[in-house]
Amino acid sequence: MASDNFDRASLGATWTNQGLGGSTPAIVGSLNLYNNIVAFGACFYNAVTFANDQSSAITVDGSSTYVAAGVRHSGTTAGTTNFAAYFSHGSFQQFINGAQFVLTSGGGFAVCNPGNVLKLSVVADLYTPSKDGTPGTGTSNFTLTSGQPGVAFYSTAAGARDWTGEGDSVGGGAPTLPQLERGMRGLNRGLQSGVAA
Amino acid sequence: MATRIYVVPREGTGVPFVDPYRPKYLLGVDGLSLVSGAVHSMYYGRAAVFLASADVTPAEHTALAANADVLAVPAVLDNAIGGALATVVAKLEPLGFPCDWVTAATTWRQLVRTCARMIALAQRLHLRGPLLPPGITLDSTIGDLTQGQRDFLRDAIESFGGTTNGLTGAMPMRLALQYLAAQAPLAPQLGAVAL
Repeated sequence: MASDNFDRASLGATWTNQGLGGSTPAIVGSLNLYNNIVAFGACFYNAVTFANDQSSAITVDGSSTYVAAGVRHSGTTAGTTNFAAYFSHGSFQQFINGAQFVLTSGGGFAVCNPGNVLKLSVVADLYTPSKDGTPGTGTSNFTLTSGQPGVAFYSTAAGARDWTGEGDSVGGGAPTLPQLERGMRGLNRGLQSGVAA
Repeated sequence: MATRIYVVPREGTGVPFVDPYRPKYLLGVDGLSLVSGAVHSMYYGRAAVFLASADVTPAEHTALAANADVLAVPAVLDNAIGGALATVVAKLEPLGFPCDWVTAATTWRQLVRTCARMIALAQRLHLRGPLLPPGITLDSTIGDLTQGQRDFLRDAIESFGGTTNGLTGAMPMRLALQYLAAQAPLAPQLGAVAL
C-alpha cells in the first residue's frame, strides 16, 4: 500500500500531472491536494508501480463537488490521458485518450461529501466503489487494463486528503512509511515473543 | 420504479466537462441522471452507441421507448423476442451489432448478453481502433481488414483467453464478431443487472 497525506508545501515528484484541461493539481495550504489553476485536472502516484488490480481512496475535502479517486491512470498530456474514476457527485467516468465518457450516476456510486472516504477498486474488468468502507454495486468496463492509481478534480474548490493506493505489488520500489512501520511492528512482536525474525 | 435496459445513441463530442460522451436521454453533461433513478452504461467501443440500465418510472420508460433511436428491452429478460424481431434487427444492425443469429425464439437475455459481450470486445479494442474500421461493414470479410487490424482483433480476444483460430479470410465480419464475442467474458455487470 502507498499513502500520502499531502502534509508538505508542494506535491513533488511522486505525483505525475496528466495535463488534463491544462490544470495542475497542487497542495494548497497543507494536508490537502487541490485542483489549483483551472477547471479540471488529474494526477497519478508514480513512486511505485501498481498491479493491474488496484484501488485508490481519498478523503473528500473542500467542496464535495467533483473530486475523484481514479485507477489505471496513464498518459501525461491531455490527448493521451487515460483513467477510470469515481467522482464525489456519485458518478463513474472514464477518460480515454483525453475524451470523457460519463458512464454511471447513482446506484453503488453514492454521493460523497466532505469527510467521506471515497474509494474505487478494480479487479480484472469490474470497477467497485465504496463510501466510508461500505462497498457498492460495481460495473464492468473492458477498455483500460493497466496504469497507476490517482486523483482527479473538476472544480478548483474540490480537494482531497489522506490518499491511499493499494496494489503496488509490481517492481518493488522503496517501501512507504506505513509499510516500514508495519515491518517494524512485526519485527518487535517477533523479538518480544522470542521468535527469530 | 423498475430497472430497465436500453440501447441508446451516444451523445456528445467527448470534450471533458463541456460535452462528454454519454448515453443519450439518460445522463447529462454533468454526469447526473436524467431519469429518476440510477443509470449504468457501457459504450460500444468507438461506435456511437451505449447499452444502459436505468431505474425509471413507468412514465419515463414510456417516453424513452417512444424515441425512434432507442431500443427498449422488456422487463422480463427471459421472454422470447417474438414479434419484436423485425424491430430488433432494424435497430441493432445499423449500430454494428450483427443480428442474423437472432430469431423470434431468442430471449431478450440472450440478445442483451451477446451485445454486452460484443461491447466487451469493442472496449478491449478501443485504445487501438474501432471494431468496424472505416470502410468495413458487417458484410465485409476478415480478409478486408489490414494485417494490423487483424492483429488488434487477435490481441483483444487473446486478452480474454480466447482465440482467432476459427476465423478465415473469407468469413464475414458479422460471423467473425459472433465467433469472437462467444469467447468474451460471459456475464458483464451493468450496475445491479448481471447480464
